[in-house]
Amino acid sequence: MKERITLGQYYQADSVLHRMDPRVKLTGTIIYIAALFMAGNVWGYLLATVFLVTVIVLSEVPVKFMLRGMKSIALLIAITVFFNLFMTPGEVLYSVWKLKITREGLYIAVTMAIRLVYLIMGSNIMTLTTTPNGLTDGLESLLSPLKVLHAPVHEVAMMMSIALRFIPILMDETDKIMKAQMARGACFDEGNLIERAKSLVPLLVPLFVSAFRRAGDLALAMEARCYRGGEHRTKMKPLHYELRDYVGYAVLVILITAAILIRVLC
Amino acid sequence: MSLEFKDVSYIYDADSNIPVNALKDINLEIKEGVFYALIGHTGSGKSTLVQHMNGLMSPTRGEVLYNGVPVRDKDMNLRELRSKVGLVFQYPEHQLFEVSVYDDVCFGPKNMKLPPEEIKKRAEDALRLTGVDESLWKLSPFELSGGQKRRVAIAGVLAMQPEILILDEPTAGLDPGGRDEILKQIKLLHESRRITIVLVSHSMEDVARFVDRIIVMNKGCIEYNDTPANVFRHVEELEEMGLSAPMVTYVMRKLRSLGLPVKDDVITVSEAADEIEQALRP
Repeated sequence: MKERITLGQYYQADSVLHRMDPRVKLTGTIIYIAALFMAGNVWGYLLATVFLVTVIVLSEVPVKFMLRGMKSIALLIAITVFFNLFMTPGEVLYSVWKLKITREGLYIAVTMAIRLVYLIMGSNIMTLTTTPNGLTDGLESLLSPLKVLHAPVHEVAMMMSIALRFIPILMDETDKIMKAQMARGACFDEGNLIERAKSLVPLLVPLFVSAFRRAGDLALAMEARCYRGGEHRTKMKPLHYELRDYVGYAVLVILITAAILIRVLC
Repeated sequence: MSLEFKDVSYIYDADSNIPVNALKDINLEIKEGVFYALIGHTGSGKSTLVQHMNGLMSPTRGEVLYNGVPVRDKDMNLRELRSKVGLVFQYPEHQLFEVSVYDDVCFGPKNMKLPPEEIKKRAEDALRLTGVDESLWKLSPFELSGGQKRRVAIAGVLAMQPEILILDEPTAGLDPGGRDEILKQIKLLHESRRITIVLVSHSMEDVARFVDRIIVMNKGCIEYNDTPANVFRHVEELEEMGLSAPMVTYVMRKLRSLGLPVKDDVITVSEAADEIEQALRP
């Protein structure tokens, strides 16, 4: 049960990327994606590849973990490739029955697939090397200028970290409830659609009851510790930049400049 | 009825970089009509062991045999097995979901596809056996107190009329009064129906008073499988495993070391009282 969900899974290690400030990594992901989508020729993709490979090596995360994250979007990529391959009008290279593969279609399909794979891998590296709490801290800090516009940045960040914190707890709980009901003869993978939907009731009712109870308890515990939102709230571990973070930013500036230059010049 | 473990090992996360060996070559036979206690420190493998008994988990190596048939055999009907080997988990909140107490207890028998009269009979029977008052039957299970929820959860499993009843910490989180009531009810059940019971527990006092045999687990192995008096003789070893003997055993050992001629394998308060009386009588 637990193995199936890899989204936002943190991989424990002590690499340069793991120690890097989450703000750099968030900005980096955005810049990387921008550079990736600016690429219009071989050089552009080469640049993205070099950056991606370097980052993968630096992250010290086994490639196995990154590929695991790819499984979930394999279908999406397949569909994208399929439609681009057959639906793009242009010079026909090969045709089977009513389906025609065109030169333009082939080009778009390949670049689309590369972009999608690179996109997911790039953002996977961020989530694999950054703890969920680090991510929300970074996001809060990056978005804090919006506070001037009275956007509830802190509240949203707090909700995000609570939600993330609760995922493993609720997964665990789901597992326990499933087992408790299976011990009473419940079966979750049997019968037609309606029967299956019905069989979820004994799972969902205890899960919701427990989620609400936990939410209530947590709210009470936070209030008991005088939590009252973002105003004047300090952090236990405030984010601060170090040398490697400045180096990171410098690399990102080089990346985006190179991407723009390639786009304009080649 | 027979339930047997043959060289059972179970490894969590076998393919990760930190595999956990939760069970190591377990050999065990659960005999009919015996009241067992399963004790061990947190993480000793108790929960993993009991989940192997009804096929919720299957061994990495070795076999669990129910009436001689391996639990993971293709011919094994898991639903039937789970109705014969009833497992009640620690938190009743994990299983109560119906609109009323009565309906919730019917869930197990309904899954067994029994006729309605039989379901009704079994549910009422189970509720009476666990001492749930008839005035509570139509209430929502969420309105009950902790102790009552516990009873309803046990009734929910008992309604399937299992041959073995496994209870995972049925007294955790209850006050002493509620704890005693539940344990007495379980003991009564064992005596009136001769049903085999496996009680997972932390409390040495409870275990000493009620059970026939104690299975002690430590780091995935079975250290002892013996009568309470024999198990609690190994006080030092038990303490090393993060367990203890009943309070009264310590008292008797101390008295003995102070020179009072009492036996030191006494495990219940009433036994101790008799023993001390004997020793003091001129």
